[in-house]
Amino acid sequence: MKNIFKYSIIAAAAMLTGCTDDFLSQDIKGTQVLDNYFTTSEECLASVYGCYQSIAFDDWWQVYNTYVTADICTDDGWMNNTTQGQDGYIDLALYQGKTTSGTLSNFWQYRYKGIHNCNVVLEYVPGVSSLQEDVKNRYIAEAKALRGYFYFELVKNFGGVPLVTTMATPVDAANMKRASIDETYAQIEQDYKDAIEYLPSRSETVKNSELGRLTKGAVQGLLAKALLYQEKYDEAKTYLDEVINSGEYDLLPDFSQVWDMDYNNSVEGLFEIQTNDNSSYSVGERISVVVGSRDDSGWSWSGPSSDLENAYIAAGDEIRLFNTIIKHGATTLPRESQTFADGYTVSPNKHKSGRVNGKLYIPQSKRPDNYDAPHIPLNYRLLRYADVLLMAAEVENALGNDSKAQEYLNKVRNRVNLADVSSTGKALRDAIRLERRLELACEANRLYDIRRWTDDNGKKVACNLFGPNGSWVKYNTQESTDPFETTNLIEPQDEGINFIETRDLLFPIPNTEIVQSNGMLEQNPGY
Amino acid sequence: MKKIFSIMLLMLLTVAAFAQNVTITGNVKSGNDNMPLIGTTIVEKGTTNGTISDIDGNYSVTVASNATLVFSMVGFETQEISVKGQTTINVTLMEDTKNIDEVVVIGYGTAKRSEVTGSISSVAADDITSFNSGNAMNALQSKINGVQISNNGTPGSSPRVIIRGVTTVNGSNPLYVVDGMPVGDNINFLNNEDIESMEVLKDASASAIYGTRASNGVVLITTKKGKKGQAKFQFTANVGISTIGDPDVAKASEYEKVYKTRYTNDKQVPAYNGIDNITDAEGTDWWESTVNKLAVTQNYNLSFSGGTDNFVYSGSFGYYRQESHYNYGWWDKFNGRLNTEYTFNKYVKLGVEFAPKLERWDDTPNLMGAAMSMDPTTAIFRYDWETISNEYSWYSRSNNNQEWNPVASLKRQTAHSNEFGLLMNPYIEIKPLEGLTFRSQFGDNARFRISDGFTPEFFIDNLEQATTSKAERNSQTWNDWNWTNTLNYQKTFADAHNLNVMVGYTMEKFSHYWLTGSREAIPNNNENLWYVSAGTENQLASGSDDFSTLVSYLGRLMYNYKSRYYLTASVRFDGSSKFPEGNKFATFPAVSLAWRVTGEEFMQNQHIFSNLKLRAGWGKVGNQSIDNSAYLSTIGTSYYTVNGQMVTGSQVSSTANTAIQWETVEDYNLGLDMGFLNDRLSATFEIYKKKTSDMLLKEANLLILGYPEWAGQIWTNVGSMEANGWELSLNWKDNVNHDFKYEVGVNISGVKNKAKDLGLSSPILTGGFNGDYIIRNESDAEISRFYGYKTLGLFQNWEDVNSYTDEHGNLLQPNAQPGDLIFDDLNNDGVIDENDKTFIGNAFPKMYMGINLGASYKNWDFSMNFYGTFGNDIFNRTRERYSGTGGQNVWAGTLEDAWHYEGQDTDIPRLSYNDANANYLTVSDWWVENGSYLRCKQLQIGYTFPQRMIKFGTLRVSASAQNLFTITKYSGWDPETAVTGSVTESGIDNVAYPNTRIFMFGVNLNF
Repeated sequence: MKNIFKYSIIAAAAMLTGCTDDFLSQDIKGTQVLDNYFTTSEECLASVYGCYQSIAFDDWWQVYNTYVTADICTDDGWMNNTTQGQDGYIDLALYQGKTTSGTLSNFWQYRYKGIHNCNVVLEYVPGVSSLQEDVKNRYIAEAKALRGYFYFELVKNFGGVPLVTTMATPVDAANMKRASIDETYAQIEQDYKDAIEYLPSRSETVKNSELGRLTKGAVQGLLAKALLYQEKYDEAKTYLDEVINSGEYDLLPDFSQVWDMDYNNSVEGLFEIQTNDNSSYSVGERISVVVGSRDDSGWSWSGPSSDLENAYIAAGDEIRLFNTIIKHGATTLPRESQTFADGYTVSPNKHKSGRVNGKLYIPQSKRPDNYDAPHIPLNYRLLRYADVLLMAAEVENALGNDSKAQEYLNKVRNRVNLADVSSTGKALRDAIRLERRLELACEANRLYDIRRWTDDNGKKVACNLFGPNGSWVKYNTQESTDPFETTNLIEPQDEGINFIETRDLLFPIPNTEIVQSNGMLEQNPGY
Repeated sequence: MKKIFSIMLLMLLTVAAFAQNVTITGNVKSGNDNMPLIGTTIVEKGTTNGTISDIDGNYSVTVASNATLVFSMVGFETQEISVKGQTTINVTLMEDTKNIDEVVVIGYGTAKRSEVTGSISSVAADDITSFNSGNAMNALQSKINGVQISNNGTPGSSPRVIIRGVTTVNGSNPLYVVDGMPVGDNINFLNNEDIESMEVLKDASASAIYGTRASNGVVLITTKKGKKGQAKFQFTANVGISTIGDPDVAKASEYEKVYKTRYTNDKQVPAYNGIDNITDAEGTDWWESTVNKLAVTQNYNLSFSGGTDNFVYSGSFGYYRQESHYNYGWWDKFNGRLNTEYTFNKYVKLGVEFAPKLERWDDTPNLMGAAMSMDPTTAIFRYDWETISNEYSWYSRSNNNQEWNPVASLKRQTAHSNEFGLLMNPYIEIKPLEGLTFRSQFGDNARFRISDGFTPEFFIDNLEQATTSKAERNSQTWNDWNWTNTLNYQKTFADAHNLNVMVGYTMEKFSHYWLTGSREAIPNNNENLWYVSAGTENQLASGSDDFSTLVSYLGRLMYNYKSRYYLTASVRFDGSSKFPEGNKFATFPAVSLAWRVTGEEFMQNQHIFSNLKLRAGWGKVGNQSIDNSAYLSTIGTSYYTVNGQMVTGSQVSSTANTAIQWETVEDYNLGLDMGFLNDRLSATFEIYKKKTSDMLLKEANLLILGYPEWAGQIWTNVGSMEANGWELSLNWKDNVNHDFKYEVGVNISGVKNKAKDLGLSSPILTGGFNGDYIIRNESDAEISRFYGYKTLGLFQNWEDVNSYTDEHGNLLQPNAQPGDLIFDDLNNDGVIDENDKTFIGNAFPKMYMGINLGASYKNWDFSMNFYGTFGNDIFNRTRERYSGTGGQNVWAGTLEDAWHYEGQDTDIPRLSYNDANANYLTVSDWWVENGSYLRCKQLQIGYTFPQRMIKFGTLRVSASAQNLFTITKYSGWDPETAVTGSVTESGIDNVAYPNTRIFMFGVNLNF
């Protein structure tokens, strides 16, 4: 008996000293860890793809929903859905001054998640010795350009934001303040400029079957846009000229092709959210469902206004009207092979305007089986050549080169069979502005244009559209005879009347972030 | 045994020495069951003369004619009777359940109650089984002081248990240890009938021996063991009926009026899609259609025990089943247990516990909120349902709100799980020398769970549909083993120094193996095809393993001098795989002292105290419940498209904290135990102070950090917390006579939970509410407090609104109208903003109370328990149901009760579609109500049939009511369910499944 006892003690003693260290090191199974990652070029490339995925993440609610909301907040659109709770949009649509929008909070959160993904790449990839120098430079350039883009999306919505350019810790973040708008743009410009040199041209990506990855032209275009938003016309011109003179881009011959999924990554596309229809993964878009007619499997959030329709009619712009606005009762639809003898339904009692977005309409035969899911293979166009031409027109006009401006403007007009514009000066400026509205309507562009453009009375365009005396508010409340909008009053006709000039040229920073920061982050004025 | 013989001999020898003696004969019976008491000591007072009763309880003793006889027996109350010329004295001894020297389980050993220096509360089997519940902790509510237990009524839910206040924001449940085997933080799997006793180690001086996982306290559970003797059987059966109230929501006609009024009050056209001028009869009672009025609970158990000198056994089979108040949702469990112990010789003992179980459940849905808010103008079924072949598509979409049809949701419930488990605990005990015991125990707790779910394809509306069906299976295996080795030495030196030393070494490994898979597009909704194999598209699978380990060295010294002065000191040195190199090990020491004053010479002649003991303790305990990968950043997969083809990308999927380390709780305890009137009255008073440092929290971070977790949450040592509390227990117990006994126990306690320093994470904001938060946990303040605006009633007219201005005459609430809430401009700065918020309520009670009453008269027994909390507030989100927001249904009477004329005596704001004043979007004290309550947890009456009727054993029948009534001012449904959930997000009533009233009938047969 004593022996057993003795052996037990010996055995126990062995356990005590021997294998404790090994026993207490339990590896994490089934997933790679950052400490051992970033060793191969495949891993580096995958991490860059991870940054690309952050452009929109995997569904409608992280990023896309803010694009929807941006159009709702303009004279181009309504919330539109009048059969359901409008909680997700109403605070912004009606300019209620609330700081608690879930839509914006998601956007803010996911844009910074994207920035974090870029920062991880920028922290680790430079140290991967097995990577060829040019490959490494390209990966770094892609991460920087995407980071610049994410900051651009933040600055145009929120103004100056905290600039996180490393893998920061909570301690770092606790002392971070918002950068000024200028500082934020400086960071954006820097990131774009650092990237341009190391990126391939569009034709190289075509050749290497890499369509959809960032190109020199894409980032030049994005940089030009950031410069234009700051009214740095000279610099913007430099980059726009490079894009235009590169010969890499052109307009598609037919406007109806612009938002056709068969023309993803076309010669007109500079920067698109890449999609495919793999139904096992969330790699397509669902925003088409979000904006689609309630009577056709859609959610009908955000729909074009009669005011926009009138703008097309006044311009005699039938092609873009047809392709941009689908109206209740239409018998033919953009890109749709099927015809609707009894009229396509956008029930006016369910839709404020009885209209839906035509650009994002998916023809019946091209819809995935599981339509209401992020599987739709339509690339969302973030920057296309028509935008570049119109930016160039705007820049040239601002710099006094009106003939050059006309050339660019008319190129866009001619595609949709509109006559040349020959006006100059402010008239030309206004023609270009109108053209941007007509060309880029329902593409989440106009809100940022009307926030940046200054009217002759010295006010921003948005200030003249909205508020108690706003032209759009007056149109809707006094002039409009639209049979749909004036009868469906569940979405109020005086939308935009609450607009306050000193507040509403920027969205509010999510309130949770202000509270969490203990006052380090300051809210935009007026909120 | 030898001692008893020698005493007897001695007694017999002395008999002859006395003159004028009388011989007394008689019989000693137990007052409990009227059975003869063998071995009662009968002594002539003041002498050593005496005897012992025989097997029939008879005795005979010769004593002086003026003597007083003292009858004593372990476990019974001592009686003294004067002889006074009698020659026959029959005595009935009453059981002394408050015997001071009961044995208490203390973790890696046992001790006598008198030796306990820390704070340990014990609960015996009867107190656990008398309350019907699937989780034994529910039965402890009210019975253990300082332990806050709250639950909701969902079948299979486990209660939130907080022992002595909150010292960490990272979970609150204690560590459960079954027969020396740590089993985690949930004991749903245990059969309550198997429990012999439960010991709650409340302070760190008692629990530090469990170091790493003891920060929330430790509950030691001892299962029933066999006793030498004939086989004994016990059969119990309990059947209960649960009832649930009907929430008073508006019927269709009132709903329509409220709905339209919300628009017309805002001068808008109502977007009403129901039948105009609907009658109540045309509407739907969603509650009645979704929730069943009655639900059944059943519990059956057969147990047996017995043994010989060498071999003892005990075992049981149990079945428990609880139904939910829906047509879907239940939980049941089959339990088996066999505990055996074989004694080879005087050195070696070998035992094994073997406890298989099968738990099964259908997930109980959470549809009560939906049933209350669904609009009553909508019919359950579509008008054309007969033409639709898919039965899941027969249902209507709400006419007026976003709520999914709750009857349709109920129909789609399919989530089901089976869990097979086996707890094995073999051990060997070797006693090589007198006083020295070596024990080695290898426990293994294996569980295997399969969960299945099926989502049918259905179409009710664009926004209420599933375009494809999906079958999922999730298979999980847990295997946790624990090897515990202890060496114990016990010796008394010089009759005065009692020493008990234990050293130990343990190794533990926790393994989790999982695999989950799914497919979509099952050909049809036939139940036989609700399996992954039937799917035709989108095969998905994932699976992995998780491991964590612990290695611990432990030691304890217990010493007392003449059972007056006590010292206990222990230390545990723990190593854990969850922490990075350099932070793996931590030390958890504890010391406690006690002075049993009544053991002193000078106390021998006083008659006030039958027991007086002072205790003081200090200790440190830890917490390591974090993700295994907390110190590593992991890489996850994301998918993108290049050139039209899918490519696989990677992103950091969890963020490391490489400095993560143990959370430590330091604890001071002072206790005073008192017994009066021969312990008929006993009292315990304790005060304590607990302080946490390096508290672990999955902390939300600023979103600008871009961490991949939702809200940037990562594991962090965030700071410190403090809990200061006191406990007072009073127990009165009296055996009035042979027929009538009663007892009264009152437990009162109070605790303040304060966050000392939340570091960078201060404030921790929880309870999301329309883009704001209800709860603000900040440094140097109590946790779970509501933070929002103060209200000053309702604006009664436009003059009120227009005169509510700053000094320049600007309106403070420009969007307000008469009937809207007035928010207080607390800082008088002329604007209502964030700076006007203040603390408007406290989720944690100031005081807790448990009252336990028991009585028996002849064959009847009676018991009643109350539990209550006092001084806590509830953020009553059910008040949202006055708003009609989003077209939700409202409380009945809202049309009248909501403000609609000047001077109306109401606090309900006007009905409004836009809610421009944000009455219902703002965190304000309008929502906050006093959450104090006192609830009759249980009322039970039992009857034991007299032996003349039941020859073969004993038979007791009982009837009881659980949650019989609640005294409270709270207007919501159940003040108890509001305080479940995370400790930093406590006190918000989100309409959880309430604790229902249950009427139980039971039979208990022993033979």
